[in-house]
Parts: sequence; C-alpha cells; structure tokens
Amino acid sequence: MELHFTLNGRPETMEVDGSKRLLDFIRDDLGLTGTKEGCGEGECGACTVMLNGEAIHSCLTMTGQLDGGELWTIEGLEQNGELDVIQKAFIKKSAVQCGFCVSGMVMSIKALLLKNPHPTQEEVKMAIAGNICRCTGYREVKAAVQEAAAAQSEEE
Amino acid sequence: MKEFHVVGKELSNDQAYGKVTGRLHYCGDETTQGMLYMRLKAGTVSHGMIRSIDISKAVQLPGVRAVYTCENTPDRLYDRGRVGPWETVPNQERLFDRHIRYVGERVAAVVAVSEEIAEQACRLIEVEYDPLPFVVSVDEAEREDAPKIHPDGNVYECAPFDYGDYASVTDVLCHSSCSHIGRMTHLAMETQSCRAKYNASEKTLTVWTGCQSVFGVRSTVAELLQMPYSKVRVVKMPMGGSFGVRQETLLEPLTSYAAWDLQGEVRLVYTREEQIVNTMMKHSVDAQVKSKVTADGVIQGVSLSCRLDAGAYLTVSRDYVSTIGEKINKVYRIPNIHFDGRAVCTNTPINGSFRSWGSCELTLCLENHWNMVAGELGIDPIEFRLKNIHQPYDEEVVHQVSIGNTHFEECLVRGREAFRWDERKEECRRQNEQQRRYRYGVGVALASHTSSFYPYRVDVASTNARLQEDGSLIVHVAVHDHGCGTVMALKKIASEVTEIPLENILLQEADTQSCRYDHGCYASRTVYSLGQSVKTCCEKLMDQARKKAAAALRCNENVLHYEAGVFFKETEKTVRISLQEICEYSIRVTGEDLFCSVTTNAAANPGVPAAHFTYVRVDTYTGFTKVLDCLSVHDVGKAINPDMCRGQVGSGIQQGIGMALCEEIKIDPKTGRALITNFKNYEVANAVDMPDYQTILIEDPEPNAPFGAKSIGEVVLAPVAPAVVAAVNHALGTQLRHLPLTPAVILEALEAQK
Amino acid sequence: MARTEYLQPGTLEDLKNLLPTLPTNTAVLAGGTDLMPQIRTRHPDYECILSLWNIPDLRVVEETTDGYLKIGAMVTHAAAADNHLIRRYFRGLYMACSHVGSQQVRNKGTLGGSLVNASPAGDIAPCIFLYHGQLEILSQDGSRRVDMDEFLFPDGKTCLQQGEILTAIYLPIDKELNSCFVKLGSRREVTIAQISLCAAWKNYSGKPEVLSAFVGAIDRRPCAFPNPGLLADLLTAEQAAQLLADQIRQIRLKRTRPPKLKLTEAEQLYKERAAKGVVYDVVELIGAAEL
Repeated sequence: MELHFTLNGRPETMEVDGSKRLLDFIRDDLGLTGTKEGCGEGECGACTVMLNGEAIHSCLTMTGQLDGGELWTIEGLEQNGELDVIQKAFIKKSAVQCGFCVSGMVMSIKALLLKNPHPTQEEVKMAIAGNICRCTGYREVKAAVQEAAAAQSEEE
Repeated sequence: MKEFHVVGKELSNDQAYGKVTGRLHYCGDETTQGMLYMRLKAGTVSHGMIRSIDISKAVQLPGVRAVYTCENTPDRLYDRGRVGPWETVPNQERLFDRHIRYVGERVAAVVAVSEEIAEQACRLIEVEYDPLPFVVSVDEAEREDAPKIHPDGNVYECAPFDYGDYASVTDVLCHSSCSHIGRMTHLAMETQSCRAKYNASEKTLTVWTGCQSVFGVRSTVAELLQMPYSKVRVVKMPMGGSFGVRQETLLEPLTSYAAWDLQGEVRLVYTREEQIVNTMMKHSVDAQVKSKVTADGVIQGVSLSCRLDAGAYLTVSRDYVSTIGEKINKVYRIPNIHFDGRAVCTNTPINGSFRSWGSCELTLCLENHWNMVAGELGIDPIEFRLKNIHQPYDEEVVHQVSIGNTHFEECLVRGREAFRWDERKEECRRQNEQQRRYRYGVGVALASHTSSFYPYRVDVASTNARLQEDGSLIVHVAVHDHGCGTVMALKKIASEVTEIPLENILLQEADTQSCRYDHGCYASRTVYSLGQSVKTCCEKLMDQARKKAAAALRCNENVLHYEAGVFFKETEKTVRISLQEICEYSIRVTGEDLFCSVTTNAAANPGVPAAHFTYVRVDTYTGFTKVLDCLSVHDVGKAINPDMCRGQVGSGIQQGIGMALCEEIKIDPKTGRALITNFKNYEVANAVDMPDYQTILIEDPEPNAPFGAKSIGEVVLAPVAPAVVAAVNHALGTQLRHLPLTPAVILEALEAQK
Repeated sequence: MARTEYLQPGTLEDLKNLLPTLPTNTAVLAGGTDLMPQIRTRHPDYECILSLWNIPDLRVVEETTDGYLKIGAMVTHAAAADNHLIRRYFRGLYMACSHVGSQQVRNKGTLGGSLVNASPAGDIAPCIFLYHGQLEILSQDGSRRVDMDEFLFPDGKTCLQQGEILTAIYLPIDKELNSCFVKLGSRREVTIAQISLCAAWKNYSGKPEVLSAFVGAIDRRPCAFPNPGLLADLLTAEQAAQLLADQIRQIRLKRTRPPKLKLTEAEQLYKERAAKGVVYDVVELIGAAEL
C-alpha cells in the first residue's frame, strides 16, 4: 500500500507492506534503530513510539495503521542539536544505565508530558508502568520526569 | 580530605547521550551490506536422540544460505563457562548434539538473507526423535536408578569445606532451617545478540558481542574453529544489561562458525523466548542450614548444605556451588563451619551465572536462618547481628584473607537509625492491632561480596595509556561495562590522576586486539581491580611526563608542580610546559612516544558490607505483599559514581523483591519444559510496584584501592530478598522460606495458621 | 513468500462493501494488542488483514435519542477512560478501562477488540453484562443489535460469523445508577485479572441497593454474582465473600484439569481464597461512594 505519514515532523510517502510490524518498518526500512525490541509482545515497552500523540507499542502495530498519522521516534526528539527536556533530565538525573529501555521510556514520558505537563508521582508511575527497567529501580526515572516537567514549564 | 576533580561527582553514564538519543548501537542494531541472519530451531523432546533431521525443504527456500545441524557441523566439545585454555571444565556442549537434553534445546540453525526467511526455513525442518527416559526434579535425578543425562551421571559434588569442628560444638542451642529459591530469568532488557565476520583474504574473524569476557569468548571460538588466537578478534559491544547472563559464551561459537563456514558476516539476535530458555536461568536452590548458638546469641557454628539444579548441562554449576561455600565467612565471626553442596543435572533448561554468583543464594539461606534464630532466642535481629559480625580487617577463614576496611557495624547502626527500626517495629504492632485485613512487618538482612578475584585466581588487570600529541589521552583496558557506568568510573580515575578533562579521554571497552589480557568483568572486580590498574598506569604516565617536563625545562623534577595539564615551577610560574608541549618534546627531541603499560594484580579482596531494611504490608485477604519502604546501606569505600551506585541499589532492590515475592520461571513437572517463556506471566516489579527506597553510602576509603573504592554492582542484590522474607514473616508470624512468597503461598500459609 | 493483503477502509460504507469480498482466511485488526502476539507466536497464514483502524465513525461516543450511550467498537481503553460521558454514567467501565494493561495498551487496545477477542480474563465484558449492554454487529446485509448473552456464549465463544464486524456497544443510560469495578491481578498494574468484580447500585433513601454484580476471569465468560444485595453492607461482606468463594470452587471442580501455570494446590485454590479481597474492595467502594 502507499503510506502517507509524518516521521518526526517530516511528511513521507512510501510504498510498504501494510501488515508488516511497525517496529520492523521503523528499524529495518526507516533505519531508525533507537526503537528497541525487548519482548515482541507488548509487555516491556522498549519499542514504545508516539503515534498521533499517544505512546504505543510498535511491536503490536501494523505499519498500515500509520497511514495518515504522525509518528515520533526517539531520533526525532533532538531538535537543531538540542536535546529534548526529557533527554536532558535523564542525563542530569542519572536515569540512564544500560539504556535499552530508555528510548521507550522517554517516548512514554514524552506522550505523558504533552497531555499532562504537570503530572503527579502517581500519574508518572502509571505512564511508565508498561516500561520495564531492570537497572535503575525507576527512582531516577521518576525524578527525571519531574525535572523535565519543571524545566518544560520554565521554558514556557 | 583532598577535594577531587571528578571522582565522586554525579556525571551520569559515559554513554548517556547515545542512549537517550537512540544513537548508540547495540549489537543487534547493526546491519551491513551482505549481512546474513541466523535463526534457530528448538527441539521438542525432554530427552532423546535425533533419529532423523530433514532439512531438504529448508535448504530449497529462496534466500537460505545454509542449514546447520548435528549432521553437518563439527563434533567438537566446548564449554560456555571457560575463560582460558588452562581451565578444567565439563566440556559437555557441541554446536549441535544428536542427544537432546531439554525441551527447547537447539537442533538446527538456518542462515538466510533475512531473519524472516531464516525463521520460515526453520519451520520447514522436520526432526524425528527417539525419546529417552528423563528426569525433571532434582529429587528424581539424584536417585541411583535415574536416567543418566551425561555419561558421568547427574550428580556433581563439590569438595566439602570444614573449618574448626562443627560436630563437636556442644552445650549450645541447635537450630535448623530450610530455604528454597526458585528459578529466575535475568531479564536483561536487551536479548542476547552476536555478529561475526570472517575475512577470507586475511583469514581473520571478528566477533562483536555484548559479553563480559572478550578473551574468554576468543579462547572458545578460536579453539572451536581451530584458528590461532591472534586471528580472532572479539570486540565488546554495548550491552542492554547482564546480571550474569552475558558472562558465559553462548551465541558466539555458533555465529562464528557460520561466518567462518560462509566466509561472510552473520548476525544472531535472540527472541525473548530464546533469551529465557536458551541462555541460562538462575539456579533453583535448596539449602539446609544448621547452627549452634549460645543462649545470648553468639554463633558457635554453622553448617550449610545446598543443592542446585544445574539443568541439562553442568556448565558452571559445580563452580557456582563451590563459590557459595567460598563466600560463607564474609559477614560473621564463626569459629566452626561446615559446608557441602552439589549440582544436579535434570532434563530442564540450563541454569548458570547470575548476579552475585552465590552471594544472593548464600545470604538468603543464612539470613533467613539468623532471622529465625534471633526470633527463637527473643533477640532483636539487629542486636543479634551486632554480636556476631566481623570487625574491620578480620580474616575470613575460607581463604584466610583480610576482609579489609569493612564496616558492618556502621551499616547496621546507621541503617537502624535512618530506618527508624525500633519505632517502625512499634508502628507495625499498632497497625496490626488497629485492623484485620493488613499485616505490617519489618525485616533486615546483612551481606557482603567480593571486590576482586583474589585469591581465588590471580587477578590480572592491565592498562595501556598513551598521551596524544595534543595532550589528550587514549586508555586501553579490557573493561566490559554492563551498563552500570564502569567506563565512566575508569575514565574518572584516569582524569583524576592526569587532570586531563573527561571529554579529552578516550577509554574504549574491551577489544582483544587493542587490550591486554583480562579474565573478564565479573566478581564485581571492575572498579577495584581494573580501576587500580588504570590509576597506577596513569600515575606512571604522569611520572614520565614529569621527567620529560623537567628535562625540557632543565630543572629538577621535584620543583615542578602540576595542575590542569601544565607542569610549572612553583617559584617561577612562567617556567611552564603543557602536556601537549611535553608530547612534542618527547617525540621530536628525545624521540620517544609517551605511553605506559601496566599490569596490576589485586592482592586483596575487601568485603563490601551491605545492610537492607524493609517495611512491608501483607494483604491477608489477597495474599499480596507490598513493600512500603526500604533502605540499603552500603560500605563502598569510595563512590566514584555515586549516582550510578544509587542506581545499582535500585536495581538490586527490584531484583531482590522479585526473588522474594514474585519472579519465578515455572517448569512443567511432566516434561521439564519452561512454562514461562515471555514477560506476560513473569511478574517483575514495575514502576507502580517499586517502593520508594533510600540509600546510604558509607565512604571510608579502602587502602590500596583506587581512591578507596570497592565494589557495589552485585552485593546490592544479596540482602534484599532475605530482608523481605523476614518482614513478611514478622508481619504474619510465619516461618516461610520457600521462595517466591507469592500471594498463593501467603494465603496457603494463613490457611494453615487457622 | 506470499504477501498478506492489507485492507484499511476509511468509512463504514467502504467497510460494508468489503465484507462480501473477504477471503475466508481474514484477520480483523482492531488495536492489534491481541492479534499481533498471536501472529508472532502461531504464524497463522492470513491471506488478508482487515484493519478497522482508520474508520472515524467507529471511534465515536455519543448519547442516542433513545437513551443509550453508543460507544464505537474502536474506542480505545484510554479514550473510554477519558470520556466524560462514560465517567459520568458508567463509572465501573471507566474504572475497568483505566487499568487495562499498560498505558501503551490502553492507547491502542479497543473495547470492541476486547469483546471480540473474548479472553476469559477480559475486563470489559463483565461491565457490559453489568449494564445490560447491547452490541451492534455489521454484516453485508446491514446492522443488527444483540444482547451480551447472545453475543458471548457460555463456552466463551462469540456469535460473530465470517464477514461480521462488531461496530458499537450500546449501554442504557440510567442517571440514578452508580457502579464500580475492581480487579485482582498478579500485580497492581499491567496485569491480567485473576478475579474481577463489578457492581451496579442505586441509592434508595440514603442506603445503597446493589442491583447487579458480575464476576470476570473465573469462568469462560463473566458470571452473575449470586446475591448482589450482600455487597451493599460491610456487615454482609463476609457472607458475600463466602458465596463468591463457593462459586469459584464449583467452577474449579467442573474443570478437567487445572490451568497450566497453577502447579501447586495453593495456586489452584488461590482464587477462591482471594475472593474475599475483591468482595471487600467492592463493598468498601460502594460504602465510600454513598457516604
């Protein structure tokens, strides 16, 4: 099928197999390997991307579902050489260890902050409950979200 | 105390930028022109011989390049746990074996132009088996008449250890307890992956892998392919966590064989199911602890007997059992000790290396026991421990080695205060009186671990440091960062010594081509052993630089001061020379490159006391245990990366809570098959389940350690589960020690109490 | 390799026209949260994927003139949890939707998908039973509406035939009705129900009267709670818990073998022992709502 979508803010048109997993499309066809596969069945969150402003599992999505939509992957967050506030906060709060969950985690948080710029701790936990991290115990991640939310509201 | 430039500063992870932007490539992210992809076919019998294997349809599928089975690959044995060729190891594995020993064991591999085609071809392979009798449980496997999984039987005893004479201790109270730990998966977020490329014109092989020992991988691969070690290069790739699962050589032999055979580049990335079933799991352990303790709570003797389920191949399991014994005297002063243990093979997936190699198992069994003893004697569990702990520089009796500058007492006392232990205990009592549904409890446990290989094996750590013409620095040391920031730690050490800014230091991870020999990064030795090597090397390099500076400035080197990359005369500050100028002087005037190569051998193995305190609420209606709050106190000597140390603590708590309460890979008692092969039914603590936790790092520098630093990466796990178990038992008045304490187990226990 | 055809109509009309043309071996894609793992593990050779993803009409939530709330089958759990009408009239459904899977799953998984997939542990079906909801099914011949009882059979299978699509859920609006939903999973969030319990009640002169309650995840399809009136008062909670435990025990005794992951007796008896937890949770929620 002919797929029309925007990729990290840029309009794209491509001929694709609509039934291909979006995760494979992103990694193999778009060459964006920042999106990771941790389990392939929507349980770990490593493959999280943002589709039409919502965090979704790219491993549970068919590429055709992207048609007419807006896709953001981790690679799109750094703009003009400047990291997104969430990315900066992850570094500042030392929320990054092995890093394999990080792109999915950051995308979940990106979607959260778009909808809810001042989330409570409970809302943060709920937003990332589907993103498994084995390295940090989540404390630094939660701190990074608050840091990012604060930085974001300062910018405004 | 001296103010450090970078040591002790919170600077996140060395590769944090690459990780938050998705720019960092893990092994499975790399594709190259002409790369071929491998997929595996899993066997379906518990135990049997392959009668026939028909690959004809698979071979004919367009895009398939090769199909490998036991019929067309070398019949050579290798061992996944071996590091050097000098080691005596079980050597039970082949690339493919006609003899299949557990459900899920690989029986064939397909290499094709895409993963999809390779996978489709795997489904076209037809295998017929002649089934053999099999054993699933350790109890069955130990019986005399049990079917043998390997020619030498199923039971592998390790040499017992005795110190003093446990049996002869009399006039004291005897206690006995049994503990059980279930199988777990490491749950490293990245599944295992490996790339191998054979260069036919050079006759060289390069292997890229997220491993813990490039030299171990090289040794195994080179001998399997009968290539000289010099022609095999192994490069450590970024890894998405290990927790022990990347310690052994798993994917590399097969991937390398295919690359060599096809004279090309082959990539293998495991699925999560393969990651769970075909790497290794954490052993299930049964242990019996007996002790003799005086009425006022002084330990006179302890006897530990443990049995590990090795799974279908022995691999490292006998070593693992021995290691539990070797760590038995790291925490308490005990005059009489007995240890024995064995590993037993069963027709189930393989068990092997897991974070802390015995410390978490040992701690669980012993701390469960001491908590029970303290309860029976009516002594507060912290008071009980204070009567028995090692004092700084005590000698542990197994290796007769000093435990170093360790502060068990401070860990307990500071933790007790910070956790408000006594008040919390009282609060629990009050809360339990006020209502019926929830029961509250507190628990504590104490652990220690290693910081080097000493004296188990000679700890060899080598560093090359080369000053560059612009005054920047390249350091080669065979570090394998698990993701926890060890590269940053070593870079900070190099920067601290040389005062070269971090951004001007290149410190790459292990590569057999550029690094000198190293056993690998496990036993929590990286910062203590490799760190000391980096520090010594950089100091020597700076001595050389100082000598060159003195020669260039025509003065005595004793009058030179050094600051921020410049040597200068204190009395005459204009007499100065920068590292860049020293480099130029060295090359152009004296004709020498400024470099230094150093090997250090850790000659100590300081302990790392760790106390964990936890506060839980058990829902007696549903059996759910919620950890409400916890505290870990760690004596680390010096935290080079305090932020990363705290992160490690969080991960230890998450894994420890999992071990205590919910994580278990269940095995089908009828077939030995793993019943959980995905995350769906593997209950791991997520962001909602994880409690808030506090961390206290006790920093009193360890002598002869890099800036005083010891280890932390593994010990963080060890005391967590037993503390949670103790808290649950405190809450319910039970004596549960068969893990995990799932809601079903809790409700069963409450039913029995009625 | 054979390509799978991917069809993604943009309107209900287009969808209807496609229905007679579909090959037998067609998979209907709603959110994908159930279909994708199934494709991955079982490798069925679907000739065709029919995606409902891009039909705006299937995502509408609106009050009908005859007193129903119509919820499009493709309304996601997240959208339902966010919808003020669902929150106002069907609090139990809102509570269920808020705790289905993870945020990513809620963003993608749909109410229709959950009903069609008909997992015994699904959180949506008990709520639709609770509210006496009806389901709208589209086929080439047009639309029809069926009750939950006709849609989901006791054996856990749905009435949907080849070429039929669930398009909407109709819930009768009763402004006096309050409701709640609780779930006992194997952890707090991102978990599959072991027992779910939802209840609907009205307040009669200061006292709640529970009119109906349904239990999910204990049998192939949701079961009516035997005596919902007991859920209204803390004094009868113990009795209600015992009833539920008995009901679960009866179902267990009828099974020929235990579920594959329930290896020990403690695991096999767990649901009936833990029934008390969900019952007390519901009783407390009702009590708190009517304070």
